Amino acid sequence: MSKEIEILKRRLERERAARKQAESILESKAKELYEVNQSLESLVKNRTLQLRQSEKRYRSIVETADDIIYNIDSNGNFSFVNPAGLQNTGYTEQEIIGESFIKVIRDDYKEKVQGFYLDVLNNSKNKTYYEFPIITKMGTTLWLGQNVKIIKDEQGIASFTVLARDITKRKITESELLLAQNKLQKSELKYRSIMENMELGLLEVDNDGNIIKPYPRFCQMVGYTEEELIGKNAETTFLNSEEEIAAAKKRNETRLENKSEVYESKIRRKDGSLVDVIVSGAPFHDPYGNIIGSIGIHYDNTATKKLTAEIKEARFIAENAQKAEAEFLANMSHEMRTPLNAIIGMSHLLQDATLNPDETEYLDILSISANVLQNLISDVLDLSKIDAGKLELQHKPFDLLKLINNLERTFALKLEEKNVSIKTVTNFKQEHLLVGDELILNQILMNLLGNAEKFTSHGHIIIYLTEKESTDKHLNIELAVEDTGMGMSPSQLEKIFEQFKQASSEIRQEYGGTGLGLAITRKLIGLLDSEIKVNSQEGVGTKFYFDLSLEKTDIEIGKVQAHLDKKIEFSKVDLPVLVVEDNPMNQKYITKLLEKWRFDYHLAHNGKEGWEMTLENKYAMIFMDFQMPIMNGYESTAKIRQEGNPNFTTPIIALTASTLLSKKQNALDSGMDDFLSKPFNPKQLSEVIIKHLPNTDSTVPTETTDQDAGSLGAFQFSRKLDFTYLEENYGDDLEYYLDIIDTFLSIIPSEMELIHENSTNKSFTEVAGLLHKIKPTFTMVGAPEISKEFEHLEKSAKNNEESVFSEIKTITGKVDELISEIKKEKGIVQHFLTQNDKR
Amino acid sequence: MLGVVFTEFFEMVESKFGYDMVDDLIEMSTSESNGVYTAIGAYPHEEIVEHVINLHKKTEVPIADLLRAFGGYLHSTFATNYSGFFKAADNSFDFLESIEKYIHVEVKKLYPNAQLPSFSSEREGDKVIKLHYESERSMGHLAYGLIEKTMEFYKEPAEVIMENVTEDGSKVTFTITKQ
Repeated sequence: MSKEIEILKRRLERERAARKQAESILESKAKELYEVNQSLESLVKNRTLQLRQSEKRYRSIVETADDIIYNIDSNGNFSFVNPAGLQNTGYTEQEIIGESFIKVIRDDYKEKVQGFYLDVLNNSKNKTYYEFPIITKMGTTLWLGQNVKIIKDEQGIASFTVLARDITKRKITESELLLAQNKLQKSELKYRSIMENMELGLLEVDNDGNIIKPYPRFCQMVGYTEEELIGKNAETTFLNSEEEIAAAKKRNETRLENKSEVYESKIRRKDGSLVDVIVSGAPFHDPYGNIIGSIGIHYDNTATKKLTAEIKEARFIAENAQKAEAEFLANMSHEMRTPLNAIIGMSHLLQDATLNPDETEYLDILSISANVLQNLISDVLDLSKIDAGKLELQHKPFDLLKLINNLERTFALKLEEKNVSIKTVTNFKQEHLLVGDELILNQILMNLLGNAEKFTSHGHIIIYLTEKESTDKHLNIELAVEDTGMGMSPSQLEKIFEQFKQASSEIRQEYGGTGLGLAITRKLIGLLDSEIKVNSQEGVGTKFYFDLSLEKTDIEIGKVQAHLDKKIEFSKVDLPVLVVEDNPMNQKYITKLLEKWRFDYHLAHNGKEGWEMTLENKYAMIFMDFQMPIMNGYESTAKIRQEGNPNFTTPIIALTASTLLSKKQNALDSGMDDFLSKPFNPKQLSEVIIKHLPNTDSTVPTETTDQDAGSLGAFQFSRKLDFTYLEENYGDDLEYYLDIIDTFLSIIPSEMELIHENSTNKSFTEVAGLLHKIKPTFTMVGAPEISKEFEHLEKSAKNNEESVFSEIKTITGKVDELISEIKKEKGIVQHFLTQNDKR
Repeated sequence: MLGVVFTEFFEMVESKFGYDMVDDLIEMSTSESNGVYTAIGAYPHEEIVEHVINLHKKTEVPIADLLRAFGGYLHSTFATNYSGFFKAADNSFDFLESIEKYIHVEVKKLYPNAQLPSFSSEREGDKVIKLHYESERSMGHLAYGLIEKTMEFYKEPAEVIMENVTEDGSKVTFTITKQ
C-alpha cells in the first residue's frame, strides 16, 4: 500500500510541479502578450495618424486641384465633385450631388459617352480616356477630357472616380483650325477648279524640275496621261532645244530666290508637235517656308499667236493699200492740178494787162471758176486728208471781204437762171488783211452756198458777215448762209452732218451729190476751232452759221500790190534765179512774175538740165518742180547738194502741186529749203523770195520805223485817270485808246439808263446782271475805283439788299463825272493824233 | 520537443500499462525534467528518446512499433484538438500536402522555437503520393503511424510503404497508394 501511496504522492508532486510550470509559462506568455499588445497599440496609433495625414494631404490635393475630380456612384449619380468641378460647371454641391451624370452631357454626346464607358466596363479595357462636351449651369459648353478609375464592390457593382480636365480652349482651337483648314482646302480647290475651267494647265515640279503633279488640263494640253508624267523631268520632256533648257535652268535659279515670272515658251507635245504657251511660274513652299518646287500655269497661246500673225499680215496689206491709195491720190492731184495751175496762172497774168471793165469781170469769173473747179477736185481728197489728220492749216494773210464778194459773184452768175437772188449783209469794215486759211474758209462757204443754191428754187440766199468783237489783234466774226429753200425737219437735221448721209433718199435722187458736202464742211469748221450750227424750218428755209476768230495783220487793204511792187523793185540781186520746170504754161507764169520784179532768170526744162546749169552758174535761188521727165526734182536737188557744186548752198524752193505733208517732208529731206504749193499767187511767191533772200527786203521801210520817227510817246494821259495803267496799255497805240473811249462813251449812258429802270422796279437779278456786265469797262478807261464800287453793288444786289438802290443813285453822279472827264480826254487824244499826222 | 508529445506519450503509457509504468519510466529517467511535463512547455528531445527506450526495455515491444503506435495515438489527439486543420482539407492527399505548407507554418506562429520535420510531397497520378520526411530526430515511425491514421480518418484505404533513404532514418520516403 505504501508503494501505491508513494506513487500517488510522486504523481501529485509531478502534477503540481507541472501545474506551476504551466502557470509560470502562461504568466510569462501573458506578459509577452501584454507587451506585444502595447507595441501594437502604439503602432496602430501611429498608423492612424499617418493615415489621417495622408488623407488630409489627398483631400487638399483633390480640393485645390485645377483638374476636375468627381465620383459617380453605382446608380450613375454624382457622389462627389471637387471645388474645381463645381467652379467649372457652375453648380453648387447641393445641386449636383445625387444628379445623374448623363444629364450634364451635351445631347449629341450622351449616347457616345455611355457607349464608350460601357465598352470599357464590359471588356475590362485599360484605356479610359475620353473627350466630350457637357453643358454647364450657365448653358455654355464645357469640353472635358477624363480618365476614369473603376471600383467594383463585392457584388461586382461598379462606381467611378474620375479625373477630368477642361479642354474647351483646345477644342475650340482645334475646331477653328479644322475650319480654317477646311476653308483653305475649299479655297484652294475652288481656285484650282477655276483655273482648270479657265483652260489653264497647272504643273507642279520639284526643285530639280521633276514633275510632282500634272493637272488634267495640262495633261490634255500636252497629250500625256498623268501617270506618264509623274517623275519625269519637265525640261527634257517638254523643251525643244538646248537654249530653252538652259533658259529654264536659269529660271529655276531665280525661282529659288523666291521670284515668280511670266514668259512665253514652246512646249513639245507627246506627238512631237509644239504648243505655244504663256507660262506663269512661281515657287511654292512647305509649311516651314522652304521652297520645295514651283508651279507653272500654262496658257495655250497657239490661237493668239496665229491670230497675231494674221493681224500682222492684214495690217501689212492694209498699210500697203493705204500707201498705194495715198500715192494714187497724190498723183491724180498732180495730174489734175497742173493744167488747172496754168489756167489760174494765166488769169493772174491777165489781171496785169490793160482790160476794159467787162473784160476784167470776165477774167474774175474765169479765175474764180478755175478756183471753184480746183476746190471741187480737192473735195474728196480733203475729206480723206482731214480724216487722216494730214491737212495742213495755212496761216496766211488774206482779204476776207474780197473772198466773200468773189463767192457772191460766182454764185450770182449761177443763180441768174433761177428766180433766186444773192446778196451779202455785213457790218464789217475791213481795213487790214486777216490771217487764216483762205482756201479752207473758201471751201466752207462754197459748200454752204452750193448747198443753198441746190435746194433753193425761189427767194434769196444771203451771206451774213457779222463783226462781233474786234481788237487791234483779233477779229471775231459770225459767218452765215441763209436760204429760202425747202428746209429740213428736226429728224433730218440730225443726220445731215454724217458722212454719205443726206436728209432723205429722195433728195439724193432729186438733187444728186455724194453726201459728203456738209460732213466736210463740219470737219473743216472744226479744223478752224469752231462749230457749225443750223436753224431750219421745213418749207421756210435754212440758215447755217458759225463763229470765227481771225488774227489781224498790219497790212492795209489796197496797199498790198503797191507794197509788194515796191519791195521787189527795191531789191538789188546780182545773181540770176534758176527755174527748173517742165510745164510751159507754169514756166510762163513764174518767169513773167520774175520779169516783172526785174529778176534775171535762167530756165531749165528738167532736173538734169537744171543740175547741169548749176555746174556753170551761181544762182541766187532755184525754183524746182517735183515731177519732171528725165530727172525729177529730188534727184536733181540731191546732185546739186553734192560738194563742189557752186550752188551747194543756194536756196532751193520746191514747186509742188501736192498738198500732202509727206511730199513736203520729202522735199526738205532731199535738201530743199522750202516749198510753194501750186497754184500760188504773186504774193506767196514774193514772200518766199523775201524769206530766203533777206537782202532784197532790207530797204523796205516798216510801219514801226514810221512810228519811231514820230513823237507819239510824248502824249500826256489825264492825271485824273489811272494814267499808269493807260500808258502801259495804250502808250504806243493811241488809236486803240480812242476806240476804247468811243466804245465806252457809246455804251455806258444807255447801260446806266437800264440800271436805273430796273432799280426803280426793284428787280435785284437784272440789276446784278447789268452791274456785272459793265463793271470791267471802267478799269479799261482808267477808273478802277468805280469798277470796285460796282463789284460791291453787285454783291448787295445779289443778296437782295434794299440799300443797293440808294447807293446806285450816289454812284451815278460819279459815273457822270467820269463821262465828262473821258469826253475831255477824247478831244485831247484826237487833237494830238491830228497834230502828229500833219508832221 | 513540444510538451504535448510528452504529455500524450505518458497518457498513452498510462492507458496501456497503468500509471505504475509511467512512474517506473520517470524513476528510471535521468533527465532534468524529472517527469514534470506540461502541454504548453517544451523539453529536450533526448528525454522522449530515453523514455521510449526505457519502455522498450520494460515491455520488450520493438521501438519502431512503439513509435508507430504512438503516432496513431497522437493522431486522434490532433484530430480532436486541432480539427480545423482536418476540415480545411477535403481529402487525405490535400491534407498531407498541407502539413508542410500550412500546418507547420501555423505551429511556428504559436511556438516560434519548435523544431519541426520537413515534409515535401509529390503526386504521381491520382492515386499515389510520395512524402519525403526529413529530421535529425529520425522519428519516421512516428510519422508512419500518423499517416496510417490519417488515411483511416479520411476513409481512404491505402497502402503506406516506408523506405529509409538514409541508414540513420533522418531521411525517409513514404509511398502512399490509394486502394
